[in-house]
Amino acid sequence: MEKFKNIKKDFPIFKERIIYLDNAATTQKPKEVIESIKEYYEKFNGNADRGLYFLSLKSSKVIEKTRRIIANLINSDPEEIIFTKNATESLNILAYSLENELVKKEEIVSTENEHHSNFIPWQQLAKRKKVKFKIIQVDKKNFDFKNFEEQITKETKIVTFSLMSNVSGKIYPAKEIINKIRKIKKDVIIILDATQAIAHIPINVKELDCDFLCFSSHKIYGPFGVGVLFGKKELLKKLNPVLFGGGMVLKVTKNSCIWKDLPKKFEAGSPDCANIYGLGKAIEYLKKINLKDIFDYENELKNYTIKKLYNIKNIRIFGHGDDSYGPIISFFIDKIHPHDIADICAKSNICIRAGSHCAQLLMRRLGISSSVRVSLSFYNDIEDIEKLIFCLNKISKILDG
Amino acid sequence: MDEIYKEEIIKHYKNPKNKKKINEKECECYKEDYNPFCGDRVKICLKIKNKKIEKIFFDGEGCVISQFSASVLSEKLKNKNIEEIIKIEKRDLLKMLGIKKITIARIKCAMLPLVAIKKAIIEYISKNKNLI
Repeated sequence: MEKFKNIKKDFPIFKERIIYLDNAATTQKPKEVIESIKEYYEKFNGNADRGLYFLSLKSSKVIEKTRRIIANLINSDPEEIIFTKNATESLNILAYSLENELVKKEEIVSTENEHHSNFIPWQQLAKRKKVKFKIIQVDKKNFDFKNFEEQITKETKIVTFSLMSNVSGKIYPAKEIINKIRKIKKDVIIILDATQAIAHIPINVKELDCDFLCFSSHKIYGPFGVGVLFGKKELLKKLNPVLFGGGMVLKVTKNSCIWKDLPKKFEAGSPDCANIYGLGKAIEYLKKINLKDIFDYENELKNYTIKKLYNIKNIRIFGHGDDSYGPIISFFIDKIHPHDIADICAKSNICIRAGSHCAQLLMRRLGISSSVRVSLSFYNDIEDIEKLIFCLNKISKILDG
Repeated sequence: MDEIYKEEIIKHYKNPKNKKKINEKECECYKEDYNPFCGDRVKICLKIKNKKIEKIFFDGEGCVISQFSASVLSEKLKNKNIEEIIKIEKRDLLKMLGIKKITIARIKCAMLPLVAIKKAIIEYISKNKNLI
């Protein structure tokens, strides 16, 4: 696509000769985002919701505007958007908030496909509450969930899974899965981890009918330090906050408190206004390019990458046998350790990832301790892929020649 | 190409010294260690006589650096006093391996076999206090 030809110019980091293919770890920032943070500190710096002067009022406005931008992106109401530190914190806050909702004999269901951040909080919650913790298996060839519905019973209280795998790139048919779950038990609390999906597929929480969804700003071209937790307002109203302090309380007496309304009830402490402002700018930037074009371009580049990777000697690509995958590709080259591949690539300024990708359960299912991962963005191009392939061929010759 | 992928290192990687399948029960001094960052795993089996290393065998899966390090150590630590081996530090190891430049992420790979050997010796000493 023509419009992506010079898109690297929008990202100051690419002034340096660097081939960045680790977008599942974090994305690079467009200059609008970087400049917005400087602009915030130079022009608006104040503590939101605290002062009556311009700086504080402007900071409040900045936060509420970003909230609307996010609500618009995922089709929620602004009051259903809670700012956190990152997706991990969103999920941990949620796990603690839901603690009072769980009673004996109820069950939590997660999958072995999860990033540790969407697995450990639920495993630990189940331990604290002494409830059953069920783990859905995945098929190691096509990464489909195995017998998801069979694990859902009248006792199931919470189900949590990722929209898109951070290892295989598999995009799960969340709407279909949620429909099936709700047919068995309507009021199951369904949580979606959209951390990887948010930058690569359209997300509509009303259509999905999930109860909660989370993601991190830094994986959608925004700054680090900001996370998002979406929750259906009737549920958020019911839940108790778990972080306490300034900004979230209306009235404090010696023995009790009255919390503020949504979403402030869940946002204790001074918010990270500058980075929230930056996140808003990141989403506006993406919309300006056009989200659909981004997703189409990334899909095309992913198909090209897969085709090229298959020419590498003794390569094993995980999944990607059909169209249900986003632009994250994990692979293994027989007899060559993933760390050596990533290290030699790094010497050529090619940034790819090797390791367990914070998904040890999935690695065990695949029978490996680590894999190489290449994850694409719309700023990558065919030239980046050609350089990667050249380097992989060179590694293959040195270590398996 | 970077010095950690030079010919000498690749040679060890492709044909490691003293690498064989290890049965824990047959080792009087054994340790397994693991690096969660990259998934490298190393098993160490030591034969110790009169406070000296008689033989070192290793097994496991790992990258070029960890395999190279294990292979070199299995040769260079032979006949060394176990109390001296415990004192070996990062810079001594890099000297032994002949590596000058290595990134922080890869130091752990090089250290993995040494850490396992040191842990094995410490356990051996505490188990055999009366004998030593």
